[in-house]
Amino acid sequence: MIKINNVHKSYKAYTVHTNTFKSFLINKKKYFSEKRKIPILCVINNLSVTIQEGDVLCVVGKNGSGKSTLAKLIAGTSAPEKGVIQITGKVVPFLELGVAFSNELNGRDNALLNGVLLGMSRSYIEKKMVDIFEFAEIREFINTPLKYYSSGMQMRLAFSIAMHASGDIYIFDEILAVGDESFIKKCLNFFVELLANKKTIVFITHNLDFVKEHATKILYLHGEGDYSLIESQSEIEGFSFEPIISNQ
Amino acid sequence: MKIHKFVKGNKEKLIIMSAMDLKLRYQNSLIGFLWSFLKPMMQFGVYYTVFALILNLGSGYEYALQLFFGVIIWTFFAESTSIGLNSFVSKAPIISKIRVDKLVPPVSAFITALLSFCINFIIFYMFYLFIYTDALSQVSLSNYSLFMASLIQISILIISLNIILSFSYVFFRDIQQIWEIVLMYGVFLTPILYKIPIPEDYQVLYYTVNPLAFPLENMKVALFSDYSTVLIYNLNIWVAHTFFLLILIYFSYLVKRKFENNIVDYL
Repeated sequence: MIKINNVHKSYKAYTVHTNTFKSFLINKKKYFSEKRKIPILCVINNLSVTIQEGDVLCVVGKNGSGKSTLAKLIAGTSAPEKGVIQITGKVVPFLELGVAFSNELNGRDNALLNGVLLGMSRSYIEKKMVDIFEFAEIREFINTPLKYYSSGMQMRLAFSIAMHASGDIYIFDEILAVGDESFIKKCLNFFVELLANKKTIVFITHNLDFVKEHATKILYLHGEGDYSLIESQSEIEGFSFEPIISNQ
Repeated sequence: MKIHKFVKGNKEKLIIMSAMDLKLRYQNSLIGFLWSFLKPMMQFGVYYTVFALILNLGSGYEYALQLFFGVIIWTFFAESTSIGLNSFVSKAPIISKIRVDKLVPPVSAFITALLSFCINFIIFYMFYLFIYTDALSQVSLSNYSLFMASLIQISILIISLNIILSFSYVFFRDIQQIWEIVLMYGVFLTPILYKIPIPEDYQVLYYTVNPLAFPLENMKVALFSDYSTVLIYNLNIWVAHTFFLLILIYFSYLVKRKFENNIVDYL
């Protein structure tokens, strides 16, 4: 379960000239007055939402509306300025695949490094190593340096590692399926399995069909911290992206 | 208690990240890990030529061993802090996409350099046993304790500095240039190449301002029988040095507490 309570997050919008350390030494007063002029961009404002076990929360909104920021907040890589996010269960983030990949290391070492960072134990990864490479359809490349993999192979391996990190809450930032048609099918099967096992899912997407098919809740971020939460099934079925387009 | 919890919860991450970092440094090189020993050996060769053979500041096997030991300790310190300083910036994609305790990158940088140091120390110790005639008589519980206590002091110093430097570097990129200058001067201001004759009145100040010097001198006392033992009996230096380390630990804790929640926003 994820309980988001009055969460606020903003960033400094560096749209004006920022001062240097030199200007700080020369004129401290001016440095701080100029620094105060940097506009603050409110991305998430007073957001409260509870995502129950087995819920599929689809987060939609135009670019820059705070979808990825919300994903980072739930994944725990970033912290809210105000408010509390309470999480019960282990989170597996699919925010970006293969972030810890190193081209010089071989497939086995990369699986070990990425797996450990995703919270799996070393013994579990060693035990699942063959399964990971078999799912990624690259069994024979297990000892090959990653630099000799195609980008498709790298993506498949990254997906396969992440999907072996069994958790309670899964966050997908527009990544659900990678690779060729047959691999996409495998990824979708994995997703269906998650749904069947009543895993909590936070899905950031622009895909309306997906939203209508799977969402149990829609969090629609309008930008500048404004949001609406759609919870009734009839509203979800009738949801359209038109308001997003009209906002752009 | 918190340290115990951190180690327990992040043990595998620390070991794997450090081991992979070390592996990456020598991947594709012909002699691999041997470089971690060859580099300080070459550095020792240059220093020995200049300070022993040309400037005549020391001579004999004992000076050579002391110099070599000083060089591997300095390499350990310089390497740890240089990797540590860059530990958030170089791992930005990981830190911003996967939840990792913010102590893991600076501590794993320390472990990477510690692994290199262990290899170097084993090789140094083989030379030491082979060359130094009093080597076996130096093996005692008191010397072992003094050596380990000094290594712990150096480790605390490095980890605290790594935390401060790595967080600061995200916000102030000048830190790297400044730290390179500190390291450049530091090698000459630490008793590595020669014994620095510090007047008695200034010893407490010197060994506090240069926190690497005191444990380094004590390690040499533990290894070499006729090395001056004046420092280890100076309680004031022990107190001042320990106090400095405690302040450094507290400062690194404050830095971590202040920036750990928003560092991702600046990476």
